Amino acid sequence: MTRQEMHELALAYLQQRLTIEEKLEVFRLIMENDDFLQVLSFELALLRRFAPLKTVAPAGVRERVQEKIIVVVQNPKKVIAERVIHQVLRGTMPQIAWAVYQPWQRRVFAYE
Amino acid sequence: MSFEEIYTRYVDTVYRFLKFKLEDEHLVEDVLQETFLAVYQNLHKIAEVNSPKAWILAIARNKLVDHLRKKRLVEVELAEGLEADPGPDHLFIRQLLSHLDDTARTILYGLYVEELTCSELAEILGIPVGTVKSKAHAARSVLQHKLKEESV
Repeated sequence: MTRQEMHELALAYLQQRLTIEEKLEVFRLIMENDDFLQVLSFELALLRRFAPLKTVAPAGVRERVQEKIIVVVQNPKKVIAERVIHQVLRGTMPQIAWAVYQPWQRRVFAYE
Repeated sequence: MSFEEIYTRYVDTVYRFLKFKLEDEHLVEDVLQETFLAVYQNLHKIAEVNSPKAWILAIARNKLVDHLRKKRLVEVELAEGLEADPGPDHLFIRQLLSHLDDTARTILYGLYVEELTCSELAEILGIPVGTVKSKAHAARSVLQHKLKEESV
């Protein structure tokens, strides 16, 4: 078994994605192979390091996006018109005015 | 599966992925919306795909690249995603990942956060499975080296 295969097996074991036969192979390797034990320990350490990235979407974002999709699906002409206006304003407004306009516009459309 | 079921099941996955790539919350929200709009418009295809999660993440990645290309912000935004202050919990892993290229970072993120397989990652990134495996292995070696350095 190559080192790469050991990493893949160890990670699959820790993420509980193995068949019974594969689990038995892991148990055998844990008992007999010091290299595999090191690999397993490294994979566990990496999983712990990545754990803080397992976030969820804030409820506000979740609901707002779903509502916007419903609006787009139900009223596509209105959305196209808004996009055209958006592009025109973006092209013509000074940079500083655009920076003020954008957050305002997001709030207005979010609570429309 | 209805759109509502798909949205409920995968909104966190897509949000997390975009948040990993971008720091700008408004941009995350925009791309999230575009992603699920594309999912809605292509809902008939979902029955044919092997992994709905990989299919949706591939759409999210394409939308993200399109969005950034339009704004010509690819390098700036991706770098910002790693450099902005992410809070103490995220800081260590983000510093560690800054030693890798963007594809390698995405592969490790997929493996360790989303628990994707190499085949699913190959589908998302549009590269061969063998490349995903070799890049994952090389990235692990870099991180192993960095973790050893840190513990000395």
